[in-house]
Amino acid sequence: MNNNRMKIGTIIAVLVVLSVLPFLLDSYLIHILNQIGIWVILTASLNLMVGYTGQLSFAHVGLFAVGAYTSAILTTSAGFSFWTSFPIAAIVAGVLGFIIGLPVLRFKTHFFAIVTLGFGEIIRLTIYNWRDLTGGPNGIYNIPFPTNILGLDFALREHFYYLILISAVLVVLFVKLLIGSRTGKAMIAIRENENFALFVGINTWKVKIFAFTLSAALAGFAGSLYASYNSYISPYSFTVSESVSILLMVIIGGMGTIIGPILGTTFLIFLPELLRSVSEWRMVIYGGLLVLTIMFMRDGILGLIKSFVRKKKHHSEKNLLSTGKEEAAIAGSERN
Amino acid sequence: MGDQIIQSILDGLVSGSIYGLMAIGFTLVFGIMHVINLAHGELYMLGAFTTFIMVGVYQINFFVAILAAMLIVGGLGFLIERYIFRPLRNTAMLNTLLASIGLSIFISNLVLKIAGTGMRSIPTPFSDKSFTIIGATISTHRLMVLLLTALLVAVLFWVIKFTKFGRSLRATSQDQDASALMGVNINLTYGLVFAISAGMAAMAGGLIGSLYVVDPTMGLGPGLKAFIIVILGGMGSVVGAIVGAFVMGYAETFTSLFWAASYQDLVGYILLILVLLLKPNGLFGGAKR
Repeated sequence: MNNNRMKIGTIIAVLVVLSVLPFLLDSYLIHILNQIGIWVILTASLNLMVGYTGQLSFAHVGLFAVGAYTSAILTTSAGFSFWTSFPIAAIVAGVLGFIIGLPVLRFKTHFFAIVTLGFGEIIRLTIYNWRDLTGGPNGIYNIPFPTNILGLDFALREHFYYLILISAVLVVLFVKLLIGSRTGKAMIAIRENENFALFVGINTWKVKIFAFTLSAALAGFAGSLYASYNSYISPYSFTVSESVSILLMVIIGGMGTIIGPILGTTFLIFLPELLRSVSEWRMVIYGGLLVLTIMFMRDGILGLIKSFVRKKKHHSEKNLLSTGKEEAAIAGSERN
Repeated sequence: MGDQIIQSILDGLVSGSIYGLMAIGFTLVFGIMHVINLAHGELYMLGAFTTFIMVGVYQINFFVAILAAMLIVGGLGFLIERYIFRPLRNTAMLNTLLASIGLSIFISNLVLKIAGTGMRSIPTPFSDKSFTIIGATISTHRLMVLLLTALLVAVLFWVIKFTKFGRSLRATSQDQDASALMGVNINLTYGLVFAISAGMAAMAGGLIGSLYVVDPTMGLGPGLKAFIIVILGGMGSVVGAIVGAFVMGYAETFTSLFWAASYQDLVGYILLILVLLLKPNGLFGGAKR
């Protein structure tokens, strides 16, 4: 109980700090935080598939692109406001996710990975070739910022920050609630053993298509924010490299946890900024980190922190008796 | 149009045979080691670069350079197997898949940083002389590519079918533990399989680099296509890989003939999805996978 109260206290403290940051930091740091916020939504959506349902999807950058392009086209050519195109982008990406999911979710493990990669590339190549609608390789320019509401002027990074912060917090909270629900538990059961999940009466197909559709809609949501924040998008922002980057963010943070992807995203976006002299080596570092994470640190940064904390606790509680039950509880809390 | 079709048939033959070199290596690694190596395309790119440096900078004979590139990249493949895939051998298959993606991003971006994006081409010793076959032309160079590929595939078949090493390969692919009990050195076999696969990719890279251009991102497409071809032909089947490679080569050449060259890359993915939906085990795949 005490532990729980501490957790809520920490979360509130973090949120308070996050909400006053625009008054403390310069515009450049706010820009980085905004990027982190957008990617947190995307990695939360990917984590739903990779971390909780156990399906390695490479289609998310494609669905992110669909959200970004839907929002961009609606706000530029069709003259919609951001506030109407924002939910439409999520719906379009979600519907496309559902349509892609129907054939794709029949496959497992590496077949699923390659087919989703195929769909991601098909989306990118379609965007690249459909010049009339998407501007082809030139991309779409001058995507308008959201119109002002509540006295917030979204042309300013500091004000856009709040839109991104609220969206990211809501999405993360939503994922957290979903994982706590029956459906979320069914997703975890599928990750652990799909046949067994089926055997205990879970409609695995339904759960998987639900997770994929939802996760696609969240990716589209992130895409819409991305398009109006950067006011320029092109097919070059949605390549296989980006797929690998977001996957690395989820894995290096600790997949199948709520905090892990947030940590991973923050770490990987800050890293090239901190090491300014090597920032051009970003993708080299990402690639190397992915190999090293898989080889030596499969539970990610969060796993590392947890095992460190556990060791320390273990050290101080050396003389206390511990029952097997407690050990099991600790082992079970490794993920989710 | 008739001439163009015959020309496309010849072009498809060349690209099909290059894809074949890539896909056979890929399918060997999958069939024997159960590893999906998405860094395969990067080994191909490294082969092209090694050949380019030897021929273009040090003026070494083209054939010697290709052979040397195969040995160098093959050696690198051996080390990759030893230090990356061996520690992951008995873990979930997705781990090796992810590690190989990381490796692929690492290698291609490293070369991109070092070498830059400039267009390079490997100078070749072949004359401009070309042959005309029923209205279509094929250069000596392309003919040479076809012959070298056919030769290498023939040697590989001979090794797999008739040598002691080949027998240990086939045994390991059927049952790792049983063949270890029969005295097959599993670690060495795996390392050599990976080295052979890398060497074949390097040869494909060297040959393509002399036909077109050498650049650090050249491996991404063929690497993914090798995977698609292998699924097309049936995972682990060498014959399937060869047939799949020609299906892919022809699908692409005819798409760019009848439709547009920019749609060429889409064809592979559409083929992949169709095959997986209609015949999930591939054209030559066994009943189980």
